[in-house]
Amino acid sequence: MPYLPRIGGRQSLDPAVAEGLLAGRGCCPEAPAGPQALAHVLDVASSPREEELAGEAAAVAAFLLVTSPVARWRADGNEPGCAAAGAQPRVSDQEPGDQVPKARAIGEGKGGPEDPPGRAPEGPPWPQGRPLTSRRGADFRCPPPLKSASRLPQARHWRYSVGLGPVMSCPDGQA
Amino acid sequence: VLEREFRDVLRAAARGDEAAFARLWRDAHPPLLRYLRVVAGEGAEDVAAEVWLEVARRLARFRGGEQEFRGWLFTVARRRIADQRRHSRRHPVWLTGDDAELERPAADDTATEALDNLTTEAALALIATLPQQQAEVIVLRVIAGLDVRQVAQVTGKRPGAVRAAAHRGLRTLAARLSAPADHERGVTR
Repeated sequence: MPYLPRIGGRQSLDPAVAEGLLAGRGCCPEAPAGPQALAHVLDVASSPREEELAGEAAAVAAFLLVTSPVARWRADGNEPGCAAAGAQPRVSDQEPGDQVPKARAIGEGKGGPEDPPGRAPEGPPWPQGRPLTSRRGADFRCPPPLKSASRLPQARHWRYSVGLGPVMSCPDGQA
Repeated sequence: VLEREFRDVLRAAARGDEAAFARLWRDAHPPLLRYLRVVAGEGAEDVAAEVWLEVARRLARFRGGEQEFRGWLFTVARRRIADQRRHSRRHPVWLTGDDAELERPAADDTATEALDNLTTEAALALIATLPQQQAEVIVLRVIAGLDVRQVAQVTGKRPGAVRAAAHRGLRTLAARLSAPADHERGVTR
C-alpha cells in the first residue's frame, strides 16, 4: 500500500515535539530521524545571514526620503503650487498693470517656519499682482471635460488639448 | 530581538532618527525577507522594499511593543503580497531570452557562497513545497517568531486553524525528510 509509509511518517511527529520545533526549541537527540532532520532544516531556515542585510543603506535612504518635511507635508494631502489657486482672482478681474508679476525671492513672504517648503504663503498671495496663467488672453476659459471614456485626468486633458503643456494651471479652478 | 530597547528605538525612529530605523530594519528584515521568499517567491526583494516604505510612512502612528510591531510588519507584508498577486494577474509578464545567458553564474560567485546559499535556499524551498497556508504559518511561527495568537491575527484565521495547519505542515515535512530518496525520485503518494 503506497500511502502507508506516509501515514507512518506523519504519525511519528509528536505534538509536543512539533510545538517545540515551532517555538524554536529544536528537538531532543533521542528523537527519530525525521524530526531531527526537520529541526535542522528549520534551524537553517531561521538563521540570519549577513548578505540579507546588504540593503540597509538603501532602506535608510528611503526612510529619510519618506520622513522628510516635504514628504510629510505632502502626505497630509497638500500639493505644491495649487494651495491658493481657488482663492485667487481671475485674470480678467485685475488691472492690466497688475498682470506683470514681480520677481520674488525664495522664502520671501509671510510663510513662517511652520510652513513646509513649497507652500504658498497665507493672506493675499500676490501683493504685486498675480502672475499670468494663460497666454491666450483674459477671456480664456477652460473647455468642458470630454464625455468620452478617456482615462486621462481631466486636468491633463484640457491642458494638452489646447497645447499649453503640463505647467499651466486653470485660472478659475475649473479643472 | 531588541526587547527592552525596543520602545526607545521605536520612539527615536518615529521622530525620524535614521540610526534607530536602521536598528529596526536590521532586526526585522531577515525574517521578513525569508517569509516573502517562501510566500511571494521571485519578487521578495521588491515587496520587502515596499513594505519598509509603508512602515516608514506610518511608523509615527504605530503604538505597541516589539511583538505587535512584528505582527504589524507581517500584516503589511501580507497585504503587499495580495496587491502584487492582483497586479501580476492583470499584467502577466512573459520572459524571453537566451537560456545560456540567463544561466551563466555571476563573476564573483564562489563555490563556498553558492553552497551556503544553497543550504538556506534549499531549506526555504522545502518549506515552500507545502501548501500555501501551512508554509505561511510555519514561517510566521518559526522564522518570524510570532506566537499562535499573532499568526492568527496576521493571517485572519482562528488560532485552532493556525495550530492545525502548522502541525500538519511539520508532519508532512518530517515525512518527506524521513524518506528523501522517494521524494527526490518524484514519487508522490
